[in-house]
Amino acid sequence: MAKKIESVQLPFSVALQIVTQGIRVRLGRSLVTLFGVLLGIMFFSSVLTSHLIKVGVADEDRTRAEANRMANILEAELGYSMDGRVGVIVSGELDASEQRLPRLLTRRGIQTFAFDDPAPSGVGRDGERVDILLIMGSESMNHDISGLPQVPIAVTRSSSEDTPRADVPMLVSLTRELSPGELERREAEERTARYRLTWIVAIALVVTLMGITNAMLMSVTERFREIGTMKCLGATRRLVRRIFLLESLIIGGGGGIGGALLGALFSIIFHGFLYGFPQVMFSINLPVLMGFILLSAVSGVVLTVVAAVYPAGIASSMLPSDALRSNV
Amino acid sequence: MTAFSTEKFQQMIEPGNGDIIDHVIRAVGLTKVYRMGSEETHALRGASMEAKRGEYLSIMGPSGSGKSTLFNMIGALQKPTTGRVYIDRVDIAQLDTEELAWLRCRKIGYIFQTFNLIQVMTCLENVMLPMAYAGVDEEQARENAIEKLQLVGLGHRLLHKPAELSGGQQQRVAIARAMANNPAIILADEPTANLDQKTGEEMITLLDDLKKKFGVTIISATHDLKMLQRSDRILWIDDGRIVRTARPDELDFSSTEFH
Repeated sequence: MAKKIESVQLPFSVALQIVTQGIRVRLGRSLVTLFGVLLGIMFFSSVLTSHLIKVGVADEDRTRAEANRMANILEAELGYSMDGRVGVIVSGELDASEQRLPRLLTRRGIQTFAFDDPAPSGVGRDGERVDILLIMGSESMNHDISGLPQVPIAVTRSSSEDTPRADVPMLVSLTRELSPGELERREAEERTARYRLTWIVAIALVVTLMGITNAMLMSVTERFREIGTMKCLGATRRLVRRIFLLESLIIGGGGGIGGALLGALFSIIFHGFLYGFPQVMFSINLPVLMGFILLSAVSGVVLTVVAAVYPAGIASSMLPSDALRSNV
Repeated sequence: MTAFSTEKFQQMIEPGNGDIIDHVIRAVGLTKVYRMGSEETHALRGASMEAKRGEYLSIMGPSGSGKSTLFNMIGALQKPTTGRVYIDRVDIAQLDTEELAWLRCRKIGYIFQTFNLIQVMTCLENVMLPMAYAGVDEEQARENAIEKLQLVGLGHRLLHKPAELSGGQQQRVAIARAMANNPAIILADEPTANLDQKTGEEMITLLDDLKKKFGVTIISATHDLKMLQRSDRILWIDDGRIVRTARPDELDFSSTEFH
């Protein structure tokens, strides 16, 4: 025997080569496993994307309804004069419906212009006539209105509890206040939706995990003899475990990435037919969608590797003599 | 990664009286008890044997005699319940799994009744596999593997998959694979049982050549008369014990015990 014995080791590239070769030759089985992962992750990804689209579409609907409602009030305040002019003051951050409001008013034939503030007394910057002043944004209700022209003022964020101000001829609140019942109902709805989503996602993940474990176990049992042979030839436990984990990593990577992309795509197409593509495209929050796709793909890889830990453990701890004797 | 250190290696060496020991395998008082619930099965009841360097040893025994168990133990595939196995004077009971893998990789070549080639690999890759485990670089391994396959007369079948070869050719690949890391011992478990007579004889000749050429020790479990006749020694095992040892020239192969 040699004086100094190097350890039995296998370069990573060789393990990778064995694995890719194995996948290629057992392509049928590998594809079935891969499709198992793919379908599970596709479901997962489509559930997440659907949720995102639904929330987006609902938000979009709410924003539109809100902007319309505010425009309606302003229109009513202006009366039927066809050349109503609205001076817009922005104070603080605008929300989505406030951003839409000026455009919406213009579309309805109401002129809007940015009203300089503080303004010279009486009129707008260029001495233009103003019929109503619209103060928008998160700071609108705290906006200093002294020194503004003596015209009706509409504020988007004021509440009815704000004290009426004697110095202003007319203060119009555009805020819609939800009744406690309405608020409660909305919260309950959101809670139910969240529970349902969590439940469906959990089921999808568990089913995927079981499916992959089963497929990997099959992959181990049908290779008992091969594993035994490899062990007789000097493969260590570590190597055998590594081969199975690597295989699951490749399958999980393929199935995870494919499933995440396909699931999102499927969901977008489905909702596109349901709500119309422009609506869906417009209401998707792209960074969040990317995040969900990434999450799905990573879940696919992690699930597959976790599912393979047990079968890989069985394979690696098998005695070579037992592995050879099996007639699987 | 585990590495054998010289000190550890020294500790594992079989105690001896300083004489030159020329045996490559020595098994002492091996017992093996399998427990199935409350039932105990004694597969081995104190079997001892040894094989000299460059010896061609055959083990005979009816099924259930403990032949496979003995075979697995001297091949470091299974641990005995009691007793010791020394391979190249190292007590293999003291080796951990990594060290056993090392031993299987470089000291022992295995040949199986069912060939056990990795079906998904070509002949060349099958022969390269043990070298990959041994850390031989790929170019070197390829060169060695081609040489080994030429040695067994399959230089023209390098890139074939096992399924495309005949039984005899598959067993030749298995022999080339067993020889890959130039082991000291080749363990052959009924190597000719799945082959027709003529192919079996070719296999025996091939093993004999390897023995002469490389001084490798060959131990085979077999019932093949041709194989027994070519052996240097034959061991009989029955009911977990070695009951008889003989040289072929002491035996009458026409007697009923061989038929």
